[in-house]
Amino acid sequence: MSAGTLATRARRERVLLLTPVLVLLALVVAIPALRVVHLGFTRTELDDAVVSSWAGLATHARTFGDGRFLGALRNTALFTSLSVLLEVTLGTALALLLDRPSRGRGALRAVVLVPWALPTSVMALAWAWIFHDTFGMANDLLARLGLLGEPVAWLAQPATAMAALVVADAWKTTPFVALIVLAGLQGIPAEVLEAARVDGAGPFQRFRRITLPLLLPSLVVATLFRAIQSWGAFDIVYVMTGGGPGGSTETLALYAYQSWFRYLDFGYGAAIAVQGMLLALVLAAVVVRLASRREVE
Amino acid sequence: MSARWAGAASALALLLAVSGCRAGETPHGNGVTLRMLVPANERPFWMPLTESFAKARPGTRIVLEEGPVPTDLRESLTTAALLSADGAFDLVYLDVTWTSKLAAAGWLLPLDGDIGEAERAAFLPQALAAGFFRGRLYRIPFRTDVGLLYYRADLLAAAGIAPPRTFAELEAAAQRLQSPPELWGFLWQGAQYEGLVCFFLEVLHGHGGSWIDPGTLEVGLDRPQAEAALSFLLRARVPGGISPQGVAAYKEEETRHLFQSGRAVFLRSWPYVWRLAQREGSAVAGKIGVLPVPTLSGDAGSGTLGGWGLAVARSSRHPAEALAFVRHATKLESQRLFCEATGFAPARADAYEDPALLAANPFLADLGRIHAGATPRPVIARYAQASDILQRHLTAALAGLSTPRAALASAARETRLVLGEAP
Amino acid sequence: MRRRPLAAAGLALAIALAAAWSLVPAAWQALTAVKPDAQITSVPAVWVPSPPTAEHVRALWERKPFARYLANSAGIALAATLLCLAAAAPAAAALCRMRPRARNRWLLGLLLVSLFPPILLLFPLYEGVRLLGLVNSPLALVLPYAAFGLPLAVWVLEAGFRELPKEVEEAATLDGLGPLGRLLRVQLPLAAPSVTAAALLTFIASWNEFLLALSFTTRDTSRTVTAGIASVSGASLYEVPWGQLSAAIVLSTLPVVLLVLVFERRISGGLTGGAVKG
Repeated sequence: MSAGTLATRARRERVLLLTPVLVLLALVVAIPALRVVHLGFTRTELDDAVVSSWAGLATHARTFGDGRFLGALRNTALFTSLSVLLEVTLGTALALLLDRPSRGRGALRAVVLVPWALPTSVMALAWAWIFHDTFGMANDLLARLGLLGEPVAWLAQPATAMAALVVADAWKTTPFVALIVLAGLQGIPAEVLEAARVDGAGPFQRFRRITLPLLLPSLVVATLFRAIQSWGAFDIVYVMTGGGPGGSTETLALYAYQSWFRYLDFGYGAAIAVQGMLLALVLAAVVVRLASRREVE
Repeated sequence: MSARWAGAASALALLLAVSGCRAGETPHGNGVTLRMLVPANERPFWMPLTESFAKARPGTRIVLEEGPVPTDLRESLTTAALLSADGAFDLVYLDVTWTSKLAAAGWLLPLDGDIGEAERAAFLPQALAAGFFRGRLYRIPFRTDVGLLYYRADLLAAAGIAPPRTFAELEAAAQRLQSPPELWGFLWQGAQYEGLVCFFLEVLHGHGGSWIDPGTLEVGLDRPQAEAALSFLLRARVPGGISPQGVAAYKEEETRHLFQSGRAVFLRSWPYVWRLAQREGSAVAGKIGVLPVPTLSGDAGSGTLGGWGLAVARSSRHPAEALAFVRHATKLESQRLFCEATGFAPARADAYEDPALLAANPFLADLGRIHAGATPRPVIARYAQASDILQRHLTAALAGLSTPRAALASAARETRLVLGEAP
Repeated sequence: MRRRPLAAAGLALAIALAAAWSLVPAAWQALTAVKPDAQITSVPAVWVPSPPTAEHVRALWERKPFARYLANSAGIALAATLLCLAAAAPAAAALCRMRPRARNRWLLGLLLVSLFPPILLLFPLYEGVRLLGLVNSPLALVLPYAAFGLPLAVWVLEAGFRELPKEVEEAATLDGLGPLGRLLRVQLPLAAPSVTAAALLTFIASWNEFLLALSFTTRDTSRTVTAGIASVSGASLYEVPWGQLSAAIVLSTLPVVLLVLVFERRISGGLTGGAVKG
């Protein structure tokens, strides 16, 4: 058999092997993605039936005059930045802890993974209960620790509702960040750190000068993943606050969902989702740009 | 070997997955099963009606699915069910404000052909009118509601004040009689939900303003009357005003509890409060009166029309039976059964002269009179969006995040954007 | 290395805090689920119920078809996992034989796909489900879940396959096995740890998914635990007895918690394997 036929056979084999994945992704991701972009260019009217017609950029243009869209955008940006900040910080701390040899390490790793494994929507209810103003664990704990004079009505005020959301989200996703950072930590050669210790560098100095810079790629990956995922967050907000109080925690994903299933404004919901996605890409690009500039330094 | 295990596992999985959807359908012989979604708290009172229907028509039965009590959650469930065209519900139990959206989407069966003039005349005209969209009848009213002003007759009589007809009279009486925080002047629903829109509309119409003209789609929110109306709400809530700060978070139940425990002079709410407030153990039993909502001029105000009715889903496989149940549920006996037990106001006109109902609820006489002036909310397909916009901006103004003029101007602009898309 | 007692104490405290932070929120639910109502609504809060009661679990079981929710979740997640593996394994086999540059392009492409937020795809998927008459059918969820699990599954499997010694594969080829045969007889059995990791990750993700489950089911009997629980509550938190809700939460999450505690090593390995490549 000639080399050419072998190569062709190999290529054909490869195509066959990759086909199932391609078909599934085409059906579930590619085609719907194209469809939602198309939907954003249509106008939906209710005229004894749900009627869609081409509208060019008119539907997209509606978001500019929509105070609720701007509010959702602001809430999404706030939620994303606060969550990611908290998660990356806590995740890194957790990873450092898990990196240290200790007796309970294996069990700790399993325990630490539990929050990540639990369904976000179900735990969102749990968190709503924890933040219940009268009977919740949060107020009880804070009161017992003497940190709180009066019970806080967490989910009834915009600022505290957002804080509660961020805490609940961070609880769930910190393990994911921790594992990524842990992998990065384990990639740092022990000799480098040992040499620095011998040279007299303290633990904080070692962390800042050596560990952190070498961890940067992992941190960027974790931040990027989490930022994009937080941006599209639906489960936790829908179940825990429903976007309240008064829409102060409504995210873009929630607004899109309402547009589709409450208002039957399909084109507009698509416009919201697509614009949200584009902004997420911009966000990702910014993060990557900042990170690569850091690396050059 | 591993392939065989994989095969067995997949078979098992598919079996589990498929069984997940089939086993729930209990076959009902050759009979017809109709499904309807009702709120959990009303379900027990619907049972007698469905049971009597099943007895009258053997072979047909109604399955009442329990839904959440908050209206907007049920709206989402109903919309999702009808959108999915899955035939999940044959009968739709719908609020006055849902008719336009569901009818415009083409999901409700027009009933004009089946329900003739004679049958229609049996219902209160305002309640029936709420079932029309673009001239066709989609919904038969079942129970109706109208916004009312409750007042403490004992307190007013003791001070020699006549029941107020204008906003000025209301404010004056409330100021004079109140002694906050034990006794507040005027309670209303100010939370960010549909109830706020209902109340605001009464004040708006009372000031001669308008929200949306259903015919021309003209928006009247940025006119001076609307600003005056909103200012009335804001004035009530300032320190020293006639309403507590907390009113901006109250819905019906919070205000009822306060009024019923004697903590307010005036309450704007719905008819259901009457029976509960007159019950044994209520601090205000025998001491309350009811008025139409006030206006600027003193003419009888128009309370916002509320209420629930029945429609038939276009995707129903048994429209004839469904319509039969609609007729059955809106018969006088059924209305009597339901309204006697719940205290809700019936939608049939002759129910207001029914001796049994009047004996159980003498208040119905007054209510029938006031209901004649009830005003519906705008019947437009995009009502949900318009209402959400108004709610949001009213709340912003109440929270001090925006001046009344700016809030209303913004609301008007956004509403026009939304309506501009509709034909 | 000499351990200073202060450092050791600090480490122990840190570990205790980390464990508490991770477990207490879930533990609070478990405690509430067996707490009598009077103790649930007592201020200050009663942490440990005395005596514990099975009332809430019983009432919940009667009120809602929880057994159905659990069966639906399990069946759908299992089917999705199998479908996902069935597609991911051949792809991983193909990728591990590729030249590094082409392989990395593919893996990167898959990574980008995994970043698509589900909300973006929701409505078109819903339209598709509706068109095919699959509303309330488990198939409506199995296909998307399998697809969503692909990127991570392919990454994990590919990493596992690449570790396998080339000679074994070459021997299999010489024996006359085609690519599928090699996959089934050689690669999958030898890379069993990776297969387990990929399966677990996909199963857990499918079990936990909410948005599609909520949107694609309108009948209570078709719901999964995540969608079913959302229907138990309602925006008004005063409607639902918290005891029952906590019982619902515990029942829905127990299977996954057990999976994680038993298979932690595999799961972490799978996740970090993907991260190391990144």
